[in-house]
Amino acid sequence: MTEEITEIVEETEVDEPMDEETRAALVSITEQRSATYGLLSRLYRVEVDEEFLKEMKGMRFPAATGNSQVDEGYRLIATFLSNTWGNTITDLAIDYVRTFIGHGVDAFSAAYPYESVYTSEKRLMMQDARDEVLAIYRSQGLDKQETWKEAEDHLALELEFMQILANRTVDALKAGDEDEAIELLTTQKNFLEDHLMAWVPMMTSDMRRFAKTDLYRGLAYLTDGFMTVDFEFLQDLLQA
Amino acid sequence: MSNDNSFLELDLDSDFEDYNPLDEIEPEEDEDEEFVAIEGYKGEEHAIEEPVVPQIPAAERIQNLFKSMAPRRKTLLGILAFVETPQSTTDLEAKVDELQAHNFSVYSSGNLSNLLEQAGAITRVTEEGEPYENIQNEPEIVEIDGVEYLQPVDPPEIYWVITEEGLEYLNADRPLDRLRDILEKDTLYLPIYDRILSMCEEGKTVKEINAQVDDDPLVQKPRLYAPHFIDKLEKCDCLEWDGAWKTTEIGREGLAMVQEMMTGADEGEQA
Repeated sequence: MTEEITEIVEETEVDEPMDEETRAALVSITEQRSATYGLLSRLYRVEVDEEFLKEMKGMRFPAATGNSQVDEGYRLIATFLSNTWGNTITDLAIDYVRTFIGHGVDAFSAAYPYESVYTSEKRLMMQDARDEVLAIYRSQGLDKQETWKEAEDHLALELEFMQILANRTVDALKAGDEDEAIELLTTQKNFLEDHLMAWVPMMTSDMRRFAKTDLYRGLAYLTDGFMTVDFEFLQDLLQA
Repeated sequence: MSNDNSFLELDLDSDFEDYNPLDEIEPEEDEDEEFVAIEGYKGEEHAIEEPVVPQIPAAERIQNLFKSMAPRRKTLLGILAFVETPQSTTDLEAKVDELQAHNFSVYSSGNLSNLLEQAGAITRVTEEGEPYENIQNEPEIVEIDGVEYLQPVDPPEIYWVITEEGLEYLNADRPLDRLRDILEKDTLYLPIYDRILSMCEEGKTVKEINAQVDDDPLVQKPRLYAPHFIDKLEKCDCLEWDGAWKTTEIGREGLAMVQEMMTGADEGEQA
């Protein structure tokens, strides 16, 4: 994917209308970005179930993307999926709890997947970060569903937000609305820079300490690597 | 915070035009002097102390498992007996389904195998009987349009086999000895045990057993009911539920033991 991104960045001149080939390539890349954000969001949202495990076992993961963290993440996840057995769902559920929920009360007992925890002095939930992301979701006409009982600055929601914006970008590109596409891509870049990249690397560092399965250890690497690659892509694309 | 406060609307340049990050900054007085720094805060490595787990011998771990999983005792023993020769995970799942067909449990075959493995009662091997623990399956590399992908593969099926400690525990299980202990304490109720084991040869519901037991003068003071005896007999593997209470093979041996004890008691009284 990285090579394709580079090509698109080279070909795209934002001030000039895109040619069809460039537009199609950008649509394809953005669809891939959306799918990756969707995968990451799903993995952070809840434990893996039987159906999702089966789906993942049927996936193919790029072997050499050019980013060592993405490669390590995919390698660990694919290796884990090659060593599943009858109790894998339970093993993963236990590791999910150990990694993201923990059992201590000192605020350092797990990799808590909330922006507020990693950006507030006393590592508390529902702090300024939550208010900020909620305002941003609403500015995009989004709000959390009633079925979602966690805070809005949960990593799964922030990643899903990126997925939704990527999908909207695809729609805008297909409709020939380049201005809208650029605005959406700018929002994604800003959200990635101001929110996700501001705290997720600290959380993934904790994930690598707490997680015992290669799936969640791989997820930590993949999240870090993908965010870096995606930020560079968006930055280059919008500066071009 | 309103939507206007979103970073999307901010013009950062105007506020920070003259700002030079390399300028020396005079240290500000700590506004929150009462704030106590927490270990690990802001990127400092928070040391995790690995709990010291005492190494408990497998035999003791197995004992503990059966003690804490008492309601699953028969299923766990059934698994141990089944894997005396190596059995595939698929076959073991079918066996556990069979063992739990009339005794619903939230524990799957995988859960129970995992618990027995952790206790050291069973271990995983390959189809050829080699230890499985050293096997690490690598994903397959496939090339599509010149791009290499990692494709997860299906691992070789796990086979389960009983360990030495597991076998010792299995062989040490003597349901008839447990029954004898109960009967020796419950000599007064020998006729009740005899009646239940005899009538359940053909399978009986609790209601049918109640009808034959609950009015007996022996169970009036103290007041006891048929399920009290059924429970004891089940724990000795003499009765099993498969839609009706049935006397097992062990139960038939138990019945002979009951009748022998009743004869002995009669002879004692006559003497």
